Order: sequence, then C-alpha cells, then structure tokens
Amino acid sequence: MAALAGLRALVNLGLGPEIAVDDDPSLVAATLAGRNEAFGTLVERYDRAVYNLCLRTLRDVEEAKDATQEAFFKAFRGLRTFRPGAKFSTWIFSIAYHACCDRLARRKRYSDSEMNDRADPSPGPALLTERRDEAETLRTAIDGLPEKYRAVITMYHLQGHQYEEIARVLELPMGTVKTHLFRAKELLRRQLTSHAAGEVTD
Amino acid sequence: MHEYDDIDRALFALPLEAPPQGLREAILRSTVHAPRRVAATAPAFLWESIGVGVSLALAVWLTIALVANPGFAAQALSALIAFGRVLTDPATLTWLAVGASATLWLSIVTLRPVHARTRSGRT
Repeated sequence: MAALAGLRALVNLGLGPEIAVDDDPSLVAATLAGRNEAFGTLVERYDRAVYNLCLRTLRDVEEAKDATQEAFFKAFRGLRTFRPGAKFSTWIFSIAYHACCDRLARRKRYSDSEMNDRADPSPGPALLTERRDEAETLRTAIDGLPEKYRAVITMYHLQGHQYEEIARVLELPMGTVKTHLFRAKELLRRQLTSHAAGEVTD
Repeated sequence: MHEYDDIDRALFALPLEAPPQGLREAILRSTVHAPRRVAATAPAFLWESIGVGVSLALAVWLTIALVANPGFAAQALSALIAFGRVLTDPATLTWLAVGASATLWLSIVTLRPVHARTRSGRT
C-alpha cells in the first residue's frame, strides 16, 4: 500500500497543467468522450506498476516492455468494454497478466528447453551473495519462485492485501490465492534465511 | 528476515523498478497520439449513399412509368402475380432447396486456418 501511495504521489507531481488530478473512472469517461489526453494520465499512473508485473512474470526486460505496451494498447482499443464500476487497476493488470501468460505459453511452445532455462533460474547462494543490496536480494528471491507463486506475490506487492483484486486479475479462487501466497512467503523466507546464513558464514 | 511480517514489510518497502526509457512515450504513441483511422467509416457511408441513390432512382422510374402509361399498374400487377406463381411451382422450389443446401454444405466443409487460442483480458 505504501508503495502504491508513493507511486500515486510521484505520478501526481508529474501531471500536466491541462488535466486536473482525477480518479480513474473520470479519466476513463473523459477518454471515451474523446479526450485522449485523459488516457495519457492513466498511462502515467499505471505504466510503472504494469511494467513491474510484466517484468516479474516474464523476467525479461524487453518482453516486459513489449507486454506493457501491448496491455495499454489493448486497454485503449477496448476501453468501451470496460465495465463501469470496475477498478481500472484490476482491469489493466488483468490485461497485462494475460499478455504475459500468452508470451509464456508461446515461449513454451517454441522452445521447451529455453523455457526451462529461463523459467526458474535457481539463484543459488553464490548469486544471492553477489547481490548484496536487500531489494535486489528480494527481487532475486521472487524471480526464483515458481511462476504461479511469483504472480501471486507480485500482485500482492502491487495491490497489497486486496485479495479479491488479486484473485480477479489472476482468475483464481480466493482460497487458492491465499494458499499460493502462504507458500510463496514460505519459499521466500527459506531462501532469504539461507541467504542470510550464507552471508554470516562468509 | 525470518518471519512473514518481515517479508511483508520488505515486500511493501520494495521500490518498483523504473521502466526502460522511452516506454511511456511508446505507449502514448500507439494509443493517445496514434493517427485516427478515418478510412474505416468510409465504406459504411458509401453503402448508405448507394442504397439511398438506388431507392431514389427506383422511385423516380416508378413515378414516370405510372404517369406516362396508365396501364402500367395493371401490367406490373399481372407480372407480379406471374412471378409469384413461378415461385410456388414445385420445380422452382426444388431447385431453390438444392441451391440452399449446397450453399449450407459448402459453408460447413470450407477449410478454415487454425488459429492459436487467445485469451481475452476483460474483467
């Protein structure tokens, strides 16, 4: 939540003079009314979060960049199908996540061996020790999680305790989200503990 | 960092990674600043114009025919009746049924390219 609030504050500072700081439904309505610059504000508000979701899911900067662009393009083209009353963040995350799933499926289809190489690169203690920075260590640990846990933990990072939103984006039952989250945290805890132990030994 | 609360704290304190340079501009170029496709509206307008033009021409022709030839209405009526008789003829109906079934069969057996399954991102 703090990260989201920080992101919002950061985004609000960068808004242009023509568009007042507004809530998402108003910006969607303005875009539908022909004020395209309102969609620009939505892009400014969510591009960073969407990119992070794609990056954590795909673990490839170039692909994450393409998936982010694809998600916003699809959202812009399909804005008329956006259900009034729904949350724009959930919607755009959902589009982005599906774009990532399609890319992962394509990867798997075209190169099973490559997929295995890239899917779950075990960071290993050596690599973890190299990345001294705590944030980097945590990111590396998240990247080392299996895909289903990685998606849940990334959404948890972006959406906070809004389990319903996470379940909606990932199209999973609420119980599954909670189970995956618990297991993901357990795996993270183990990885970080072994990393800390490695540092102490060094 | 051993407990779940610590992991929660670390996760929420984890700063979002900055997107690559030019990503926002690329998104805006493909959405907000993309040139509008006005050509898409042209065919609909064209077909409407053609429809209106044909209807007007038919109306004018019918008016002139009725005014110039007083017996035109009776001739047209008898022609319509004859056409109706032909349409109800069993042989005509048989051929129409054969044509319709052939069309239906062709539309079913026509080979279509196999598309990859795509997922919709709508909520």
